[in-house]
Amino acid sequence: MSVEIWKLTISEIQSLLTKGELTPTQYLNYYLSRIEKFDCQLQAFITPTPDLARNWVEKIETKLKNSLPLGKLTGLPLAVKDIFLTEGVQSTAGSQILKGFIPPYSSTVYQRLIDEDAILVGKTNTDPFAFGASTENSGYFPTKNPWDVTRIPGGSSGGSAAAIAAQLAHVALGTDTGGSIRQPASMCGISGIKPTYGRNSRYGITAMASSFDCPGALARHVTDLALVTEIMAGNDPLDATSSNLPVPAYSQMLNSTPLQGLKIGIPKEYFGEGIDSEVKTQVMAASELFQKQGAILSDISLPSTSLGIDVYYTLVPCEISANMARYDGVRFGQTAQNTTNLIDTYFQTRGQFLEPELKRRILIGTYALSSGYYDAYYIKASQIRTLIKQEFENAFNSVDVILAPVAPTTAWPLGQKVNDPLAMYLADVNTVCVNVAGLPALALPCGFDSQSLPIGFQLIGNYFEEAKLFSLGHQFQQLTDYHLQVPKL
Amino acid sequence: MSQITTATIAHIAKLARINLTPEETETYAGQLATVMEHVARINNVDTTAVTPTFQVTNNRSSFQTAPVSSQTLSSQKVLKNAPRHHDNYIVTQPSITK
Amino acid sequence: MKVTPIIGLEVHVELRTKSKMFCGCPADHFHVEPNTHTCPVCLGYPGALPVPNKTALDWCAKIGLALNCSINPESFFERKNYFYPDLPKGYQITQLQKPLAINGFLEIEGHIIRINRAHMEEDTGKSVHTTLNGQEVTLLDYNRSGVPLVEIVSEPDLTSSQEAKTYLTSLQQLIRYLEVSDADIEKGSMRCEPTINLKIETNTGTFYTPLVEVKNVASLTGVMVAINFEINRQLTQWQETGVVKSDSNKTTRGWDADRQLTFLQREKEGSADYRYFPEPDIPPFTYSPSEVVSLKSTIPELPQQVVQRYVQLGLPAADAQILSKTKDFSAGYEKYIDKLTESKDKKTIANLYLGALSEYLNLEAIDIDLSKVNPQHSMSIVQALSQNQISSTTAKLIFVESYKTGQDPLVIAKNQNLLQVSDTNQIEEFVKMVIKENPKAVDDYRKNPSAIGFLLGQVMKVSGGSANPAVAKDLLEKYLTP
Repeated sequence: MSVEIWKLTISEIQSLLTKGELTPTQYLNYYLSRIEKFDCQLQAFITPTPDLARNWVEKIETKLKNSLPLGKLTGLPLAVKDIFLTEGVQSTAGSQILKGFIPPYSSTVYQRLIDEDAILVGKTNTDPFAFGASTENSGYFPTKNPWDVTRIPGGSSGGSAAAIAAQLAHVALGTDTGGSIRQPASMCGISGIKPTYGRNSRYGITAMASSFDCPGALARHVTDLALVTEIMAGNDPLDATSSNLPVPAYSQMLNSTPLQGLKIGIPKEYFGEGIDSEVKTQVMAASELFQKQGAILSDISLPSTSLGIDVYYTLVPCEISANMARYDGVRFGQTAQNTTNLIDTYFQTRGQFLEPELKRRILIGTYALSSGYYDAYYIKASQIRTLIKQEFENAFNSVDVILAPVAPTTAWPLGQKVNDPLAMYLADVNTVCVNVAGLPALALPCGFDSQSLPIGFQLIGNYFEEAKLFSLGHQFQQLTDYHLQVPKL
Repeated sequence: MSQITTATIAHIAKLARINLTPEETETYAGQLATVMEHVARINNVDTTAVTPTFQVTNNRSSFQTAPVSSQTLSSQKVLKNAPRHHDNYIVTQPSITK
Repeated sequence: MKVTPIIGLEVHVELRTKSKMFCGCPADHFHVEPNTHTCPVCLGYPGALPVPNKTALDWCAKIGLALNCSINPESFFERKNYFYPDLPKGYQITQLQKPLAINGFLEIEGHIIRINRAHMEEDTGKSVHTTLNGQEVTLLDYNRSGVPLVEIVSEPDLTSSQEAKTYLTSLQQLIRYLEVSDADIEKGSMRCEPTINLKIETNTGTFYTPLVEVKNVASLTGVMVAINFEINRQLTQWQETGVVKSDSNKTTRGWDADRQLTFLQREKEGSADYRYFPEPDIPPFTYSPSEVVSLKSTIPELPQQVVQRYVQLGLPAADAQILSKTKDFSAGYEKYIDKLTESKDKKTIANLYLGALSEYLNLEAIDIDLSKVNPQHSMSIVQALSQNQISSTTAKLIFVESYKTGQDPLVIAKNQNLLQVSDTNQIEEFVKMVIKENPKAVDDYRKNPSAIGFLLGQVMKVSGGSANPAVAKDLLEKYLTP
């Protein structure tokens, strides 16, 4: 195989498939063999699905042979975060409580990709129910960062990010509630899109925080993110919070935002003292690259940034505490044995099968909503949420896009922060405000630190400005080759 | 905002129907106290006359449009996932009167 | 000592929409195979999301408008969090802070009962307690989970169990007029929970007993009996303990229909902490003034207006009430009197409708069938009566027959020989014959004029019932006068 498959974009591959220079089976097998070779070390997957994938590719080969119409993502090896329900395939949400759960329905956005002939290669590891930023909370095992297997891949979409970085899949699905696509993408040296809240349907994805959760994608090429988002996005009658706005043809708009005269806001609060100096250097270098192309860098201030963590860790656990109540062992999932009555079953099932991070957040949320605390926590935090939103809206009156680091540091060693939840939470300072406001953001790789660990930055846009973000990201990738770096495995 | 003690955790865990060992109760009490202390900073923000945001979208009045029964599952599919079932019913131990 | 009961009623009404409140599953669950009208949403499966049913909201608004409520221009849902196996998500989607409809009233027998709210929520699944292989179990059926419920809460303006019953029957009638629910208490599509306490005035002061909410009352009679039981029990309890109402001593008691008493229900953890917060999965919904006007215009004439109209027609209030009992029943009457112009004729038909025809319908245990109601028939009968072609007695029979068979009243009268003879000459012949053949009766009459009844009866007999009795009587008297 002379062509390096992992380097190609979806449309380049589709072109080869059409010309017969590549078969869907060859395309798939490239990734399947890498999963076979490297996943035991990386543990990016909870449930690899090679048999299913081979079965599907056979069907595609038949369609191809009979000149039947094929989808826009023909043969795309797709890795899916295990919190997305996939009909007929185990979906654990990274937790023991759903071990063995085979859903009879699928997530809407996943189904939209499958309908375009994408192929599921496996369900990726995640912090349970997406609660976490390192994938270490997973009820199964921790995933390793392909760049340094003693370190975390980031989280919660750590399995998806590792899979892309190690070329175990072409595109992966993830969710971003407080940074869970952008942070692992940055730590693994790849790209990830968190669209505007409501752009992608949440139906069929285990709910973490209903007003924050954003399904999105991870990949090497921004063009691939653009195409996949174009197909995933759009109103879903099964999700009342999904947007009615039409979906632009992102894949056709990659050159739609000129860099000349583009006003880029650099928020000082995102470059504070907690940010590693090497991270700052590389991120500023990225902004200077845009500047060289004619963009104008502008210092802005988002004063409520540090409050974002407190707002986030008040509201999100509140919504979590209610969303997790359905996991009681009655209608599905694991259930405690040898219990004496129903109440006992609830207590034991949840006590036994919910991972510590799940318990922690449920407790925080239950506490904050409990009698006497609702106004002080939930209402107060929701008011500050308005202030954070307004700060962004004001900022966008003077700039076109905001540029900032994603994580304050590069990937830290496995086990380093597991016993310090607060330290783990505080590391989300650069990502959570975007979720609090519901804005779209694109994470891109922009270099490495002195230990050869990837560094990423993010472009934050105004509501429903995904096209602008894809265009800027695409142009950045034409000027750089960070996205083409691969770890040695 | 009051102190979070093991008694607090025990009460909250009961509301949330989660069985905790005494060690867990202690650990979580400490962790929650730390987190909530930090979070308490929201108290210092002046939010006079600020409307809370419960929905970041501007969606209003979003109603059912999918056809009736389009997602309805066969009872077979429903029961397949239930840990215990009998004659089309899902079975649990007796629930205490509400 | 003066004891005044203070009673409020919380009523839940199941709406008969096609789909459930938050998903597309069929809402009907009566006599349906368990767990066949369920989906990920109403089963509380992972990743499922609620999408509200607009029809249900509109019907809730209609109920509110019919109860003279204001409709909140913007309203939203909230989560009420608690654990119970028939509540699959571990929370119920309901409304608390901003109910759809507020501040209305229902007038019953001159007394205004204020309505605090009418709001929208979802029903729970059904649990059946039984034994399986010697083990006690609970069987769960989620067909009812997610069915739309309207909760109607009255202020504590009711003062007796009788008033409570009247309130409930009026509310039930109103809801049935709106055709949004079967509102059947026995079937469970209308459920009532009274909250009762007492105001006790003595010469040492005024005391209020603690509030008690009574659950599990499954019939109208049950409501009355439960309320009366509670009134007595609370009085006794106060006399024994002196405990008065406070902010924290409201209790819930269950009604035991077998033993005819209320019993304290074990509270799970002191007072329940429902931890309400706005439902993040459902954006707020709005009702503009023009939408409210439009909804109002779809509300039919309500029972009270119908009654008023009949009273103005000259019908007695009691009759007017019965005529308005259901929309169809009053529609039947309206159809019958559609072509009549004289109010005395409308009254005549009212009597026939409420009398003979209702008796027939009750006997057969059937409802009025509007397709059998023919306004020509009533015109025909009214005309025949005015022309003395039929008597008021035979009119009853003929009215019912014409409803049953569809035949014109006069045709029926002819075929069954019910036409009245008023021709004086013919009746004279009958009179003469009767006088000749009943000398003893004539003698009795001579002694006592009220004995004419027998002779009149004989004239009716020989005429086969067709003689006009008034004419016959006159002629008898004429011929019996020496």
